[in-house]
Amino acid sequence: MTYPHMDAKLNEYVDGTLAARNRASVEAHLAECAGCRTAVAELRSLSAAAARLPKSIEPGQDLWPAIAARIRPRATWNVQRVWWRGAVAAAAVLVIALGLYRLLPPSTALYRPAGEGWVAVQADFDRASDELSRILAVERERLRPETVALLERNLAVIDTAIAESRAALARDPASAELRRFFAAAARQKVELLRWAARVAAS
Amino acid sequence: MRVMKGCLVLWLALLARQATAQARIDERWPLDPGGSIRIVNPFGSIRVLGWDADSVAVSARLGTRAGRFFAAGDGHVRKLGVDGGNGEPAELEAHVPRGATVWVKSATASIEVEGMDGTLDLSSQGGSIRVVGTPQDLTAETMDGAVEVAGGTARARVKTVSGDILLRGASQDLGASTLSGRIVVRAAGWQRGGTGVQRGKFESVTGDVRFEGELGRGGVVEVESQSGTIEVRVPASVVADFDVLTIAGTITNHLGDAPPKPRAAGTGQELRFSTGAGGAQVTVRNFKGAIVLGPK
Amino acid sequence: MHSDPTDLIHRAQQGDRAAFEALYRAHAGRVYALCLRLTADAAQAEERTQDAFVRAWERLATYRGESAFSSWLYRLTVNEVLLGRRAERRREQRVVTTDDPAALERPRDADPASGSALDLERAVAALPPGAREVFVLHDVEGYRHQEIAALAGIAVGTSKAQLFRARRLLREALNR
Repeated sequence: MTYPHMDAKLNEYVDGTLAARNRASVEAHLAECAGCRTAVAELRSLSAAAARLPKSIEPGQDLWPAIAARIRPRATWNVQRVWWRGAVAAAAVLVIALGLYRLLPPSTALYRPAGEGWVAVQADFDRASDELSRILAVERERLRPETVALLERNLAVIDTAIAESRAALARDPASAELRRFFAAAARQKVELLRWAARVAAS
Repeated sequence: MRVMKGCLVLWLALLARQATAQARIDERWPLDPGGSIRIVNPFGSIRVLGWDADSVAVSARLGTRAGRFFAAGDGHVRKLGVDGGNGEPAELEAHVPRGATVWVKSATASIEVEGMDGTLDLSSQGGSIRVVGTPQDLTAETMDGAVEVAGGTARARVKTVSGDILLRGASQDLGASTLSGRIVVRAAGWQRGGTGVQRGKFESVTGDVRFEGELGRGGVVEVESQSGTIEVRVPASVVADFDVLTIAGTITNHLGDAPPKPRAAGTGQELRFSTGAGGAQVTVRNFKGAIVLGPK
Repeated sequence: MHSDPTDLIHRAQQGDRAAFEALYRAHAGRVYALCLRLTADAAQAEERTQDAFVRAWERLATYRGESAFSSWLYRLTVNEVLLGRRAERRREQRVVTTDDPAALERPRDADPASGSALDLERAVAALPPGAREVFVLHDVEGYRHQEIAALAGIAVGTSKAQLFRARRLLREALNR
């Protein structure tokens, strides 16, 4: 049998978690101690056998009916739904795109033709925000009523701001300042919708 | 009938006793001074207090239907809190090492953090958040609750949808964003060195924004809104460049003689002036709300 | 139903019970094996398996794909089992002598249990609970001490001590 104080060291040695200098002293000891060598062999074989045990075992009966009886559409705080990853990803990309746009120095923006790039950004925003709004409309009854009220109130606020920005931009499409206002409002809306998604998923 | 009534009375009495019964948790575990802790409690309140011991001590009171208390972890990382519970509040208070990293989450539970020096990440749906002290790095997000930060942080990011934000004290890098809440920033001298706000960005859609305070040399402050009223109040002696613009709102300047002029590039008004070289930079943008500049 | 697993998860997250049942079918054996070895009691293992899947349903939305779904599910299972034991403090029973002697003899994968593998299973089932849990998590399931400590709410040193004790007891039992 092994010396008791060697037991922990031998285990660590077998698991490879000994510091280098301790490993050397253990190996030196093993060279001279048959009992410890046996212990190491047994530990190795034990760990290997454990790792080889079947990972999967069939329950004695089908547990699904019992599980199915217990799962319900989620309640209150743990209200769960995950937002459609595609839409959230799209919104996230859009937020980044808008953010990058805002970082452009005004002078550069002025000389940029108010054509495809910016129009595409607006179109992308519309698409992402429509998708998110649609999901919200569908999932509405599963959110807490106070949350829904908060969301709707603030969506109305931000939609008004976006509409005003957009109208001003329509009259003066090349204006970097107007684009900045629109981008800020759009970003707020997307973040509001993403927040709602996070709340729903939490 | 009388027997049934008697049973009903007894049953109600038992129910009442059960309803007032509360579970009380008092636990303590070691936690490294630089360790991190995650605390979750959906309803009720969460208080986190910094202390100098290398351990985390929790005390909590849970109503009978308040969900259950859980804790796991080791001396480096610990998580604890209340799980589930359908609206039943739980009051949770934790003392943690001052320098620890703290992550807190609630649904409507209020969050209060005092005396912490490290990194804080606090998030709630409808709960209020209050931070007193000098955390190095603070992120606070709540949708409907109010946020108050008093003390000073190196870096703070605060976000609400409709909750009001009050930032008092001194910070080097401040960001506050809201949709319809009010933002009030009262910047002051900075204990750790430097003066006032070095970098600040404050934005709202419809909420009013009020910035009051000192601006550090080389500081950069941006204030933006779509339709809220923006007020910037700085000492009359401040040295700064001002760049102010509105599309459909008004600009009122009490910081000097310069009047606003019509925008060169389109509708609206703009005002650009400087009260001295090499100072701070203040940029204000308001789509259609009023902008007021004045002395503190 | 052979579907892209990420699709199943998405659908289950949106409340699709049929998708969740498919996930159950795919992972039940693994979850049950874990519960059975941790609790050493077939009846408890069945209950814990159910608890784990119910909990997984409740928490599905927090799964965001940062790790493999199976890893997430098994950690959740371990959490359920270990928390359940502390909360309820039931006296453990030996799986072989009472409820379901055949429980250990229905492995889904690998070869039918050879004689020595069965001896090992019985010896593991006979370990005291703390040592058994750590041995199963470390040597059978491959978790590291840091992870075990976090899941079980114990110190890393305790986890190591329990493991070494488990191995010593197992060697003694198997050498007899």
